Amino acid sequence: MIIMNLENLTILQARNLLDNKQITVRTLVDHYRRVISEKNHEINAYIEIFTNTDAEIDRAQKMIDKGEQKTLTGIPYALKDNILYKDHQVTSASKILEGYVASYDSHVIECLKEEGAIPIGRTNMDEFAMGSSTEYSAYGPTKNPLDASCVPGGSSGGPAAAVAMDSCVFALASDTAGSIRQPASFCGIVGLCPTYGAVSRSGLISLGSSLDCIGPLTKTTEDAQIIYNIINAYDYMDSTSVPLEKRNMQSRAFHKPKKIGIPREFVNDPGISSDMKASFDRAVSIFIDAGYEIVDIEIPHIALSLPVYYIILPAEASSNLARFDGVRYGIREKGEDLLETYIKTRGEGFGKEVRRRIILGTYVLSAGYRDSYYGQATRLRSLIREEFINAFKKVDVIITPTTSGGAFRFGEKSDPVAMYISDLFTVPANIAGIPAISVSFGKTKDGMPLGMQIIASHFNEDALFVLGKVLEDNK
Amino acid sequence: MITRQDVDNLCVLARIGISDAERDELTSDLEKILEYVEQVKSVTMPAEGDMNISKHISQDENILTKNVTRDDTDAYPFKKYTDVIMNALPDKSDGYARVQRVLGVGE
Repeated sequence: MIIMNLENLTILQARNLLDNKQITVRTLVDHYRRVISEKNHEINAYIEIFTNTDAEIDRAQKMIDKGEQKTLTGIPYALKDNILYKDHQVTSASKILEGYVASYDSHVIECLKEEGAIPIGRTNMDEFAMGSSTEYSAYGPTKNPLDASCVPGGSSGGPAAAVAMDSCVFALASDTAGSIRQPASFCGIVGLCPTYGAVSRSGLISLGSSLDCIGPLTKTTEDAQIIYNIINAYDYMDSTSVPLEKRNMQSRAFHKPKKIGIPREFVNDPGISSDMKASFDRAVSIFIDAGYEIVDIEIPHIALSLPVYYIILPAEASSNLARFDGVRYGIREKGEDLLETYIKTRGEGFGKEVRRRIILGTYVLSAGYRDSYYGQATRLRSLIREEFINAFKKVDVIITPTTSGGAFRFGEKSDPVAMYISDLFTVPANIAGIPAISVSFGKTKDGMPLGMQIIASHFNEDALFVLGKVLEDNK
Repeated sequence: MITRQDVDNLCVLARIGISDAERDELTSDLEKILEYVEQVKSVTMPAEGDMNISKHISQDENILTKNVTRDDTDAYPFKKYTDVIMNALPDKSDGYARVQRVLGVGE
């Protein structure tokens, strides 16, 4: 018997093993199920392991046997618990959706089914994607596979931990303010938040509809590029999906990036750790050595992206989450009359952070405050977007750290504002609707990974992949 | 300045029940969060009409679906999804969602 090394498989490595018949789809799936059963009780990355995927496994194997395989045929992946997979439970890690079964497939699942990829399980997250540590899940926190006393980041802590503990080849998640990139950085992997409108949101449980993006968590930049190219498609079921022909008009024809911008004042934030500062400087020198020109740029209102976000997001979330009323989905806590049923169901079904944000959203949208908060935040959002577009006339990409430091410890950020500030560097991309990637680069003095963020203009994801690979090659 | 009464009113508006202890905590949390987001008011912005705030965040033109009949309106046969959606209801009876009474309580 040949003992095969299945550790840290990338998509193309798994593809080769499957295509050369060195391994079957079932053996690969069983391998990852074994890893999950060994590690999940400690890490708590998965909420559910899918055991009823025999038809998918057989179909994938047949595609390979007939030589009709596609890039992802037979490749096992994990899903964040807010992406609908027909006939499977989906809860956004909330008690209020306990027992809810998806009635249709999300568009991204349709894309991956077409490829013959194998969903292996659904993974933990902060409830309704509100959080930066996965501590706010109804299913208990997920731990960082590299150091279980640290958080994996959030809100996609489950999918990031699933990839980092090598229990799948890649994961699909959502990013509203950094929910893919920050956990990627904390877990030492790659996370991509695509351009808003590039990947359909159909079948994603909404948090902030003008900010939510679906993207991949992967082991390498190349894998992120492969997944992006498959899920990047127009979909009429999402009214904000941008038709392909309009994307080319919007983005400049792709050329090899040459100039890298650094928003110097922003990245000199006093909260940034000395480890991160040193790693960032080293990343910059790698780019200089590789022949890139570094330019200091100004995006005057970039630092206001976070306060803008904490007005727009709660406003949109309070509206999106109004549908969870104990009548149509999930659980119901009975009251004397309908109003009391709503109040009890939502009071008991939603966790603390979700209640806090819905009430904040209700406040910023209420009569007398709407214009000074929501109106002003929306205007500032347009201004920040314009400032980014202007910056991209001078440079091809922008780099920043992904976070101010490595993964923090459980309970370390108990104050809500302290937790919110962990999205400082990631949120501007969501505010402007532009794509950004986090690539693992450098370590803290405790040996925990750090991430560098690369940001490009609308629909210029290709530039992110070029630069991401430069960093990876020079680790 | 957020008062406990404000928080009570917001909870009714948002249809969320909270305990007395949480009300106190929430009052101080909201105070802190609002103090943080207050920064947005420091920037003088043109009046709303002067900026195109409704355009798509990644597009310079409005690409939202036009208000016309979609060509797939026949794609879903009558009642195709009724059962699957009914299955998600926490309480149902004879094809209807059952809820508590709406009127006549406390009178």
